[in-house]
Amino acid sequence: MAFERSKKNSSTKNKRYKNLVNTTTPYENLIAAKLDQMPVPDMADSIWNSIEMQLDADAVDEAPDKKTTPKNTGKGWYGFMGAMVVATSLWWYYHDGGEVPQQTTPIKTIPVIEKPAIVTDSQTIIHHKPAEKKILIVPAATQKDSFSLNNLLPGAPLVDSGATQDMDSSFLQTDKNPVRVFDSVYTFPIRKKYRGVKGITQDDYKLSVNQDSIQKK
Amino acid sequence: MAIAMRYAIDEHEAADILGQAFVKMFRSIHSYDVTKGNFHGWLKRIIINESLDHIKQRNRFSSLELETAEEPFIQNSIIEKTDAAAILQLVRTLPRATHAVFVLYAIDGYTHKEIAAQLNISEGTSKWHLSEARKILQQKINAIKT
Repeated sequence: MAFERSKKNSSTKNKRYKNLVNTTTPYENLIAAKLDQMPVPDMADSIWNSIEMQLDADAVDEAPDKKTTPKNTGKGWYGFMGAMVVATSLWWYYHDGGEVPQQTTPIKTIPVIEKPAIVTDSQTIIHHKPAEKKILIVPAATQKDSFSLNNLLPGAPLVDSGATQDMDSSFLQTDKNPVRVFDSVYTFPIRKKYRGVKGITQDDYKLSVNQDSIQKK
Repeated sequence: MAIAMRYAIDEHEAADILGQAFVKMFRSIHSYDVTKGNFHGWLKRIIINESLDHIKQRNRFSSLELETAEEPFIQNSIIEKTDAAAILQLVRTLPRATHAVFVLYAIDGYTHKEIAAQLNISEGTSKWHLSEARKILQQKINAIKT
């Protein structure tokens, strides 16, 4: 009986022991509640500084590792794409823009032959090359049908229609054979086509005493 | 900070524990799984583990087996009247190993099995430290009354 009682007591003690160490007491719950309400000292700045220092140290330690093991990261792809863009733009510029350098080349200017300005009132002296002058003696053009009075009345002055024999000008110099000076820019006179009736000349239209007199001959 | 304060002997050690815990948190943030629990609980475990690492580095846990345990008698009224800082100071007076076991068990709700796994000790040793902590606290709290 005693043994059984002692056995029973020890078992109960063990249970109580187990319950004690496996459960929390009321005062422990109070202690836990008190510690949760305890104010925390303001050390946030120092704590964050220490965190930042440790993280920076980690970043420095990881940097050399990245250099030794290059990987195809996003930055590498961006660089490759940028290089491709530059290469394609340069190719397009030199191929499609090939006309541009042609355009940039200076166009050969055609030398403009400047004609000497005609000086009217200026006092400048323009030296010209002596023009080659060809003197050609060309007899006066005579028409077969024409009737010249020069042959009939030698020395007689040339009379115009209605003109008197008294001449104002002393210019009249009758040259039977006028000398024509041919210049480098000589142009042949344009011959007008004869108009009129054959057999009738211009002299016929001129009034003369003998011809048109009303006196009977 | 309050969690680190319970395991540290002073504020400076608590700040060191908290800073290192946050660094570990930033490093292992990619391993956080929302389905396994909330972020607060995950961060709390990180801080406690860091605190225990501090304690294990400076203290050795001798294996002790508890044979018998007596139920401590502490008046709750005394605890209610005493402020939190004083109670914290009382808890800090415990030996480091006993202190850690008491806080893990009584305040953070760890089982002896979990404490044994955390501190690499046996469950018996964990129970011994708990019992030892209760005895010491009983003496000190009762001394406040007087």
